[in-house]
Amino acid sequence: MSENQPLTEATFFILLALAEGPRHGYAILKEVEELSDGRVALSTGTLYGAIKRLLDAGSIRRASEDKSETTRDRQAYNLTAHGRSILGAEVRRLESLVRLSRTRVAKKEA
Amino acid sequence: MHEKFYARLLRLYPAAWREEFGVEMREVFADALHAAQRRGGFAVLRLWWREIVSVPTRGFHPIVAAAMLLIVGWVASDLVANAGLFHTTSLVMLAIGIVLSGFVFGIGYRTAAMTLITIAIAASFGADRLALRFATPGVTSTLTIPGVRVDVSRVDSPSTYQMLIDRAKLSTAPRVRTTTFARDGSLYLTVVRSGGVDGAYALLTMLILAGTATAGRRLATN
Repeated sequence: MSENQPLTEATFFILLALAEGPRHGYAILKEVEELSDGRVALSTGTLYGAIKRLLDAGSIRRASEDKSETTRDRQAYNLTAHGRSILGAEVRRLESLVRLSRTRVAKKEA
Repeated sequence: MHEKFYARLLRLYPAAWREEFGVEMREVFADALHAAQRRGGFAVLRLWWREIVSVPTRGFHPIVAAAMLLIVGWVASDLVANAGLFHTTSLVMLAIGIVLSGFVFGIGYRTAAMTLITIAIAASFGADRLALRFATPGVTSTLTIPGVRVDVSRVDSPSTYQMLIDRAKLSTAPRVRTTTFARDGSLYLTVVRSGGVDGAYALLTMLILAGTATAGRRLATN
């Protein structure tokens, strides 16, 4: 997973859900649904498939690996510096797409 | 019962995966199930649908097993509500038809299997009721399974209708079918877009379902 690669919608929302701090599985699931206005509803299989890929890529880590960052008794996850930079790159990519689209639409309407 | 079945579903995941995430997945599912149960039966059905279609498949068997379980549940609940020879025979024949067509057309074609399960769910709810549950007044609601996409929109005016039809015509999908249905004094437009091969499998599956249902009715009336 590199900074130049567009993220899938599920991965993007999972990273976004973790941007504010550690979350356990169900909290991620709920937050993704809220952030996407109910449009992206993840199954447990999809969620943990994405979590596994993000762990393997070093974009997230288990919060219990750092003793100061546990939420309840459940396994929580949080963003690594790499994950944060991947998320930032995706936000910039989306911003540039929106900017380009607005310019094109405005030109057409003018 | 739900959680017991979910534990069985988890056995379809690779052993190393279960070892790493099994406990967490069961906890997350339990939380999601409680939330869905508060929202009602349809939310529970949607939760199960998501879980079943996201099981990593090693061949076709997990999907067939899931389809069979769905059908058994549906047949059982329907039989409780409508006892009688006619109903029993029709439902049993329909269930056999779904499973058979799953075996015949599903091997190697996961999409066809998912289409099959959707049809099973749609058949148990009634297609228009199912579509209506997804429709939000004034907004286009979408139901997507691989190869097939269904948009349901409430038609408020002739210009809305024309706009929706024009948009459907712009679709790049090989097959686009539009139908309308009325409910609660409102008119709804359904746009079904399907891919070539997937659409053909869905059609064949529906033909088999229709055939077995007809055979069931004949058996019951003879």
